[in-house]
Amino acid sequence: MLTVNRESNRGTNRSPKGIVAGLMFMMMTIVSVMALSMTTSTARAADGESTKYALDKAHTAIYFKIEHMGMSYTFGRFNEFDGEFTLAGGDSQFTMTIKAESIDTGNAKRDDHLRGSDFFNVKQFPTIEFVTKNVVVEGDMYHAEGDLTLHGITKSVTIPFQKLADGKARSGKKKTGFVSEFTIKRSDFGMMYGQGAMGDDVTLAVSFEGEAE
Amino acid sequence: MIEPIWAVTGMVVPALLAAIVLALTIRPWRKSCSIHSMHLGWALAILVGFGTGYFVTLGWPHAPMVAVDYLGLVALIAVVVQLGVNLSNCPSWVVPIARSILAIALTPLLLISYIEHSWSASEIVLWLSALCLASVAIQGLMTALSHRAGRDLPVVLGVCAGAVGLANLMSAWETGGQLGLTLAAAIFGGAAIAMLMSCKIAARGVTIVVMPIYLGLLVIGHFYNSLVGWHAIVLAIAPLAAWVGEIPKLKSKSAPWVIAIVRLVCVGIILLAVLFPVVFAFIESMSDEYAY
Repeated sequence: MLTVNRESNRGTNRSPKGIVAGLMFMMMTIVSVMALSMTTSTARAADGESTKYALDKAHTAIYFKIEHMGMSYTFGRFNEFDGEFTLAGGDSQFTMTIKAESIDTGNAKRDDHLRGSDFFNVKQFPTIEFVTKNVVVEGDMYHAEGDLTLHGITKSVTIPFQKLADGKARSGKKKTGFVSEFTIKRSDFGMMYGQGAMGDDVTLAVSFEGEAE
Repeated sequence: MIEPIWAVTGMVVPALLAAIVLALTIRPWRKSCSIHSMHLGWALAILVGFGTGYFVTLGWPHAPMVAVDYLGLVALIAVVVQLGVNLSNCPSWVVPIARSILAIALTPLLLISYIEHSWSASEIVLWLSALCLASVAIQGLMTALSHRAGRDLPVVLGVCAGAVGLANLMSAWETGGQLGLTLAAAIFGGAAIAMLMSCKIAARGVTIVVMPIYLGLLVIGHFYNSLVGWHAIVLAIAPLAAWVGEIPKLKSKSAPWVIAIVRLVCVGIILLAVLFPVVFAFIESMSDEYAY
């Protein structure tokens, strides 16, 4: 009760200077609240702009190269795969599953050998999988830290995906594309056969497009 | 590809080690010999010989993850079973039961990870029943043969193991090829010592450790690699052709060396029926110029 009385007294006894100052304070408060509100909504929009893309298999390629006896590189690719990715800043996600049996080095006999127990052991480990755990975005670069499961062994790797450009599909849906090149050691994944004759480092080159769902 | 260095460390060394271990265990220069020491000798000879080749080919043993790791485990269990039943005073009925359990467990253990991705429930029941029955029958018949045959049986087994090695090697599973050849080398090393023995029980115990590894190489070769189904079946039953030496008329009227030649020829013909098309296909594919 006492407090109310004091306030009412202040209101009735206010000078013109005080009224101006009060008005200015009110306006500044309103502007500040509006600005804060706008900033927050902008941030929310950025955070909430999450777009999920399905892999466009016709415009996706997964190639690898491995040193052969120190003389040259043997190139190969995987023909069957699936995946999706979600672009949402730091909450982005990349998931890819490759059918190990689809390995293709352009030599049927070598491919049979690669599918067998000496290398990929595709009957026991039919898929190669990558699932992100954390993504750090720096401009067009998406550094995707995640679990790569190959030959039944899961290792944490960081794959740098470079976003090339956005575009539109014929359907009118949003499209975007990435490229990446990174190196893994096959011995980390238990593929020890032929060490020396073949390099331990395997360089993968991945290029893919996704269409917004 | 079989490198010269591997040929020495993966074949010559295992053969020598198996020969030394068998010689030290059975001491062939003695006039007397016992079934007990033959079992012990073959178990240790194959353990040391094949174990050395396995280590040279695949590196240090680790927790089983792939079928070939389980094959190493099978070999170890077979040795433990053989040593266990010989070193302990267990009742005689325990021995066939222990061997049967090992024969039954062989294929499910090797195919544990194949089943998950490749077969439906009914296929699992059908395939595993057929494979377990075949494993028990083949191993049982070969063990029975080892009780009757002479010094020639290890040689026959060595030839069969070599054929399995070559078939796997030429069917795009080089590690399997190397393991088959290392098994053959270890058997031949032991067989050389067995030849020096004067008694007729030189084959006792050889099949108990050798046959699980032999059949295991065929199972992995076919189900995980490119060994053709009928090739695997013919190679699996090929050692049974050595029973031809037990035909009463042949056994009673022929010298041991004649019986040995008959066994080798019969088994050899069956092995060649597989090796011929395998080698032919391999040579044909050499035009691909693939090495690794």
